[in-house]
Amino acid sequence: MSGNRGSRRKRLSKLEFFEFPNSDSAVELADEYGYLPYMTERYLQMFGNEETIELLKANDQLNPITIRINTLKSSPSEVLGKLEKNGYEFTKIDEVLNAYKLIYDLPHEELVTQSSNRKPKVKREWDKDTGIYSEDELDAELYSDDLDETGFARSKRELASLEWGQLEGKGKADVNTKEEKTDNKKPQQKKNDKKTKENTPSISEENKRERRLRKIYSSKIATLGSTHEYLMGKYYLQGHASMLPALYLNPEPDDLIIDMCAAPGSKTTQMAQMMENKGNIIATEIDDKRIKSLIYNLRRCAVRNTTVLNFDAQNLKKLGLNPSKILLDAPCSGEGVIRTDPSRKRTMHPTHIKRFMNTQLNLLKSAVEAVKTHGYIMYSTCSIAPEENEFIIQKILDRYPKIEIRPVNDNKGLPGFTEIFGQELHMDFLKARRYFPHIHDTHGFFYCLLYKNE
Amino acid sequence: MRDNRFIRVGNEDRRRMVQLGLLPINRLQSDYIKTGLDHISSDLWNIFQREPYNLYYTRNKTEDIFLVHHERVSVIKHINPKGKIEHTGIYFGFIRNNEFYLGLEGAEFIYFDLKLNKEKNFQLKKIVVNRAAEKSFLYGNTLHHSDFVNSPQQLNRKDVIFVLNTRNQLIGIGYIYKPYKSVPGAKLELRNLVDYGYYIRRGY
Repeated sequence: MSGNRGSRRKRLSKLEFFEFPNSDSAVELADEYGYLPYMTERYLQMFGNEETIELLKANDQLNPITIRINTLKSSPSEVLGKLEKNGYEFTKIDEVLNAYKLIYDLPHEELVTQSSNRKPKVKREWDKDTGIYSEDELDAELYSDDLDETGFARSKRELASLEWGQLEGKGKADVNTKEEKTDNKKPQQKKNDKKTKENTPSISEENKRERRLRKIYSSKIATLGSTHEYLMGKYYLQGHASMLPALYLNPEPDDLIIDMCAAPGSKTTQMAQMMENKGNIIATEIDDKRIKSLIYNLRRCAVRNTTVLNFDAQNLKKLGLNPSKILLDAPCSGEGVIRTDPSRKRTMHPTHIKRFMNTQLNLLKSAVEAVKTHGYIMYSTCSIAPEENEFIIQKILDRYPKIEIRPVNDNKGLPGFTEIFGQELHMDFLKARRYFPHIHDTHGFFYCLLYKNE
Repeated sequence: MRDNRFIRVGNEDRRRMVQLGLLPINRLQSDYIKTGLDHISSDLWNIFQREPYNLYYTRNKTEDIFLVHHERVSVIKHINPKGKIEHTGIYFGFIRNNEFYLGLEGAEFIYFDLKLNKEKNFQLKKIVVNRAAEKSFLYGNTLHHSDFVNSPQQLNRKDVIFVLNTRNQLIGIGYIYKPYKSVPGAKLELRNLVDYGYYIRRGY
């Protein structure tokens, strides 16, 4: 039991979402990487300038594809053997049993030749009418289904209407267009301008490579999600970080476990697998539509120890069960999964996050009240915002003295924040674990194991 | 005679489970299921009853049948009636228009878990189909006799058949449609009941 809660510089009095006035650098970064300015400002407050840029760059990269072999239906050797025959190569993830990462690291040149019907590069020449390098068909083709900074596809017409330089990323574009205005020069005349030469090609090349990779990668994912083995439920496509909460909750065959907010069922199926289909899992989900995907994943993976309940988990105590373990993968802003869903850069507003915070607190409260004494609660989110993670748990620690944070045997993840946004938090958050895209090359993730003492 | 296995939970527990939307099957449903399983084999119902499972159903558009292990029942009966049970144990199939349709997981349970090889004089009817037919079947299509690589000698109308690919993997179940002799040119068909492509086709 943790009697020593540490001194608090400023006590977290109420559940608050921290917004700061947007600095110039935050606005600049937001423009360059396509975020809402309040997000980049918060990142700057959390990580500082250099690390924020690393994070933003990492969020634009591809998340590695990882699979978990479903030992309820098959064995790793069987599944990997069959997938390798189909051209997939995997490497083992050390800390998670039966988890493998897809190897897909071809050099740039190979990717270009692999992508079909692409013509070889020709010398770039500026086309005044269209506003793009017309002879570079590879690029024209690429831009046509490209993503803009908001994550939406650009049409050719839209691209043509853009000012020169805007294709290369808005931050850089701003510099160029300003120069254009003052000098009133044509871009071709600027070819010899050192600044322009230094600025534009590196980022655009990098982006192009990334986008090509994303295309080929996503086609790989598509096929990995429709193989015979996948349909038979012999493996599950699941992110590396997302496998950790269930792993460290350590479900055992005689446990009664409640999985709150269970859809679409990645962690539920993982727990059932770890329990060898013994014991009992009650998976609750309030959303009628998501419950279908949960049920189909359970059925596909041959999970038999699970009962799916259409129920609002905020009233968990009313079920009258005394679970030994609870997994709460709380609904969140999803700031950690921007790699997979870039639209979150611009769609997630503070009001959304505030709403999530209330839900998360209510869910965790109800979990704390429902779990039996000496039981465990695993709280996790795919968000990196402290308000959705440490602050929620801090409120619980303040309110329920029986609850304490337990360490997990995870050496790779970083510890949780003990001081952030001018708020001093419990020192036990060093036992919680955080994953970041720019450090761990996974989705951003947070998890914390709680224990209910007598 | 009514099988008492299915109503062994006490009245209070039964009331709770009914409020949760999970009901023990009644005699009529039990008959439908027995008739459905008879299309696979006439001995299957008896073998099936030895297993430590109870049959329950939930009322949706169809009556979904679940095969619930005794261990699970002992937990479910303690859940307070808040919310609705959507799924539990093994999805065995559904009843529609007074007929039982075996689900994919039910078929898997029979094929993999019942250990029918140990039973004397019992064999499941299996058909191995060629590569092109496998793809076609996984799209939910009907197969023809020419697609079969290996099949039992005797195939009766409405027999439920386990369909395998050339690598001996179960890809689904179908039933035999045998045209009456009076129809000229009509040939035996294997009609799709359910297959693994179902998970993709449903789009979940």
